[in-house]
Amino acid sequence: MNQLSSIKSTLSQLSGGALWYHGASCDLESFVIRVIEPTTREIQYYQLTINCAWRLRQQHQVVLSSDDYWFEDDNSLSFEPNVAAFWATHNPANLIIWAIDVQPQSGDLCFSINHEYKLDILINAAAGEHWVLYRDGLKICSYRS
Amino acid sequence: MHEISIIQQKLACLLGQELWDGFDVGGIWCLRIGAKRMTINRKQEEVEISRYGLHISGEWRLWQNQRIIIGSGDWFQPDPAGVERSALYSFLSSFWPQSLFIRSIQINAIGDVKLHLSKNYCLELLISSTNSEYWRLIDDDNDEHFIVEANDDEEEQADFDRS
Repeated sequence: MNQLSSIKSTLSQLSGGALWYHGASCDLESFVIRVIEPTTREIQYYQLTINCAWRLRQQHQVVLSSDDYWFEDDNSLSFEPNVAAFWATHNPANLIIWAIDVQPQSGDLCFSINHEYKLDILINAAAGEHWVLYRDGLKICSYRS
Repeated sequence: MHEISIIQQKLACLLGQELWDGFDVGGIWCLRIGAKRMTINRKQEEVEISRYGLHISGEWRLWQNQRIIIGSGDWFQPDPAGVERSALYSFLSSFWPQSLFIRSIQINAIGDVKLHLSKNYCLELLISSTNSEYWRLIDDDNDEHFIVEANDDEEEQADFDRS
């Protein structure tokens, strides 16, 4: 199985999960995705740590992006006012991921989320590890070029 | 952001033009496109400039043969040879001079732009901010700056063009 097929297969575990939290993890940004296993009702938390550009858009309008956040000298994460405004009006439990596409040429990811949101993970470098997915603190998948 | 149709109209002047230089100024990638001309700079030196300038502040990536060969994120990647400040500086130091012609331009509903170039290159400008400038197209003939940014509006642009 090539890298992208393997990624697609692993990411399918996130389908049905909620885009639960976004914040800093060391000096990288992370999304936490909360997945409830449908048969056992067990809750799993996945952490998607991103080292490339991303944007959250509603249809074609970008509402949050990697440019809205920056790290201060002490590694604390600061953000634009629109970030707080967005999370104040959106219950993370309602941001449910229903599909994940992997672009074969770029390696970009596109998470389709209810209320017509899409989270695009945009590969913006020729080399390096662009994102990593962890489950229970263990690395289960990453994209490197 | 501007209407997509307006961005398309403004970019149309680049079709068929030659992209012949690119350099970094404070994290902004500045491309020289179109007819070369000589001018006197602020230091009273004669320098070569281009009819059009495309200054990219946002995210971008350059493809060749459907593979990303360099991108804005490579500012932060180490130079594989360990000589330049980053992988991007290393790339820029060897990429020019060369002539690339703009064959076609695509823009999607979000505002991402693809400039399809000769030699199977494609330069992609990505919309990835809610608060800052993505890129600007400068026409040296009339000093017009067409700015694409998150919060621009037509009135502000008209004021800038008039000033």
